[in-house]
Amino acid sequence: MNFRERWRVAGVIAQEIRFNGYLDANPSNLSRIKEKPERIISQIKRGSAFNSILTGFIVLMIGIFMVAFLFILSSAGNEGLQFAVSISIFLGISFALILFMNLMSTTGFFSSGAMILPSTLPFNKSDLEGLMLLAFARIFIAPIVLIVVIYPAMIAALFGLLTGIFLLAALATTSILALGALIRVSGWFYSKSQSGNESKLSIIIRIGAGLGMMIGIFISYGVMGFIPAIVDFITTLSTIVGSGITIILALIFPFSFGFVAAIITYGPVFPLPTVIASTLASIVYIYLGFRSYITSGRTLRSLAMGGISVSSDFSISPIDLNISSKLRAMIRKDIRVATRSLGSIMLLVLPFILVFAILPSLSLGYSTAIRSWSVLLVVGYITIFGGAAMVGLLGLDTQGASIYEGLPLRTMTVLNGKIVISAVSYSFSTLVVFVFLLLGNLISPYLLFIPLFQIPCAYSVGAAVGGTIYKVRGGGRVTAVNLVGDQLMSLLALVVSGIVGLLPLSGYGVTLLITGDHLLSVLVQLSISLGEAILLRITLPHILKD
Amino acid sequence: MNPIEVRELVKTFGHVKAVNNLTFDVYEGEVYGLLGPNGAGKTTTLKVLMGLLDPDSGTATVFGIDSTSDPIEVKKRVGYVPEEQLLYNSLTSREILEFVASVRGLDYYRTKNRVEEMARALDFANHYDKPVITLSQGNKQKAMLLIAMLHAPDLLILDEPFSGLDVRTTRIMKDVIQIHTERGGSVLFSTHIMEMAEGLCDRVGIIDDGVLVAEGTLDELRTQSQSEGATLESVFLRLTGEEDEVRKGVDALKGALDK
Repeated sequence: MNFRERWRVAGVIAQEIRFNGYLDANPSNLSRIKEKPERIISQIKRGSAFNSILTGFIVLMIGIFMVAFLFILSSAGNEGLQFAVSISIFLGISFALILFMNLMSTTGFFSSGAMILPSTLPFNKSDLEGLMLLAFARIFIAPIVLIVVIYPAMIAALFGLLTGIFLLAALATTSILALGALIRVSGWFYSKSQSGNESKLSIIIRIGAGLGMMIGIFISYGVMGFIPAIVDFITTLSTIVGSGITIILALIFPFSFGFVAAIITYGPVFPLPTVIASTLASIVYIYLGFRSYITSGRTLRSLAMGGISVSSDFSISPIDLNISSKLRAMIRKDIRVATRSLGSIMLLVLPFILVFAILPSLSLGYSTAIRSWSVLLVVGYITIFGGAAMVGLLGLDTQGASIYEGLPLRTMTVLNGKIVISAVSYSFSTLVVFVFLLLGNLISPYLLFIPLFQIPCAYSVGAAVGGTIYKVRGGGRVTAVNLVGDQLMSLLALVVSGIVGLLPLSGYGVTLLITGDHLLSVLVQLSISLGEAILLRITLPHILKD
Repeated sequence: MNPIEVRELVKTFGHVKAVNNLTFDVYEGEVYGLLGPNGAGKTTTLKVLMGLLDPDSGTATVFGIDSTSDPIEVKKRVGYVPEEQLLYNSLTSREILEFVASVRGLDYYRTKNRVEEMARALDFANHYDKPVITLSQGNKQKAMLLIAMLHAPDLLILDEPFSGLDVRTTRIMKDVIQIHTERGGSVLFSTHIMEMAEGLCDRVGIIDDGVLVAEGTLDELRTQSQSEGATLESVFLRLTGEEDEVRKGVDALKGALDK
């Protein structure tokens, strides 16, 4: 079978995986797909295109930023080392982006069953492995193509064809290594999360993995702002410590590729040992990339076809049940499911991570007094992303349709369970801001009340986002939305949480602008946030359907 | 008031009329089989009965409760096993049963005893603490049956309960249905497996292209189709007008395979 045919077949498999992913993401879809099949199929296509555009846009922005930075530094001194470090950082970001951004959706690959039909056709093992890897790559094709093609093209135009071609090879190797790591890490997490082992240690491992992933994503995005500082740091370090540091760096992925790219662009700007070390290490990494390509196909086949060994030491314990109230059962079930999925854990910890990510911006004002605008900005940021966390909670019911369909559960009860979880997470985040403000130097003591008076939004944001998604996607009934697979709904969630969450803060801001009175402003904020919560409490049951 | 009363039910999906003016009853203590080829409208009918789909017109009531206006009350009275086995893969059967028992507000001791007895009877005790993803299709079906029967419902609605089951699990499912009706419960199940319907059902409704083409006991259906002593399969093919079509298909297949 030639590559063109394999590419076509892999496209069919990838489409099936996306289709199953969409159905899995929404318990009501299986019942409703017959009602408007064309609409659902076009939704899947639109969703895939939207995801690709968004991911592509992020990669493109990072690429443009990096190229602009390289162009600026080419006029400064020590450009060889700076060029090497910058290229290395882009390679590192690409690796992290492919690994972390796709980790959530990859576990679904193992259970989609899309490879069962090809496995019955007369393909040999290596054909099947190649097909699987190709289908896997086609799902994540947009960012990979952008990373592998566009960035080297930009570099070739600015720094010469040879540098561009080398970067093409380096980025292709990086992408293959990242896909290999992605397959293994998601396979490992899948086996851990499905093991059914409810020991405290396994829960800690699962939540730790989620936190690690979240931090990884933040580092990937956040590192852009620190590139000049990192380059400066390594340049200064090599000046102080000597060439030893560059030799060590030249051996480490992705710096090896960065050093070779700098040598191709600027000539032998490093000592000979660094040149030899980076060249040899680059050859080794390219070989490892090739090996990874071969073994990843095999690993993927064994994971997708043979299933993942989850656990063999199930102990038989006496049959018992822990029966609680409806609401508590909903919350307990959601927390159990959430801590067994990487994507869900990430979304649960998102508000906490955001608080600590954005708090430093408040501390900038510590030399002077913290102004109301800084507090409004921090609280607004947390509020908007509280909506994203709610979408994550709605996505937990992706596999439970058979249970839900037979249960006498009111849509409002299901939503309330999720609102409670998101409200706890949101309230905790605002309380952290409150404590931070307590320790700070405020322009007015009334600023302390901004995060506190925003707490009613813990209910409003969850209720508005959940209610809107149930209405739009489920016709008012319980529905599940996958944050990764349905980014249109995610965008809608951000808009809704933005409107609901920012209205009280805008009330504060406008009142302050008009009157200059902080007390009156926080009272307006409280009135609006309480009013929203009451309004939603009254109206929500009327727009939902059991 | 019968456990199930369906009157002039119509449900369309786009241009396709999945259920067309369907009317039937399921009586107390009866096993009623809804028979039909794939795509005949069996699952749609059951989903409308469970309040999962809204009908275009007509009514579906369960113990006198309208499925469209009060699906929650319907679900309180019914044990439902859908065709798809979509359980929470990462949860264990114990965790799912805890969730179901809590949502249904069941009594701890009665539920614990019921689960213990049913798990023993279904040979499921060894799988109680295993994540759903590790279960075979048969064991998943047993888990769904446990979930459906946890609250001791008066009526069981089972959508293709025998699909893909091994001999042992099939036998267990049949026994469960029989025991349930012996104790006064009613069962409505859909199937396209004629042997199951023949062995289990008190009455059968044959549905084709969303239309109920015949209804009654096996003897009544034989009389209707003028095929004395015939199996349910033959009766089914004759009543749905597929006898000649199947014969032609088999002849064509023979020709193709001979080449």
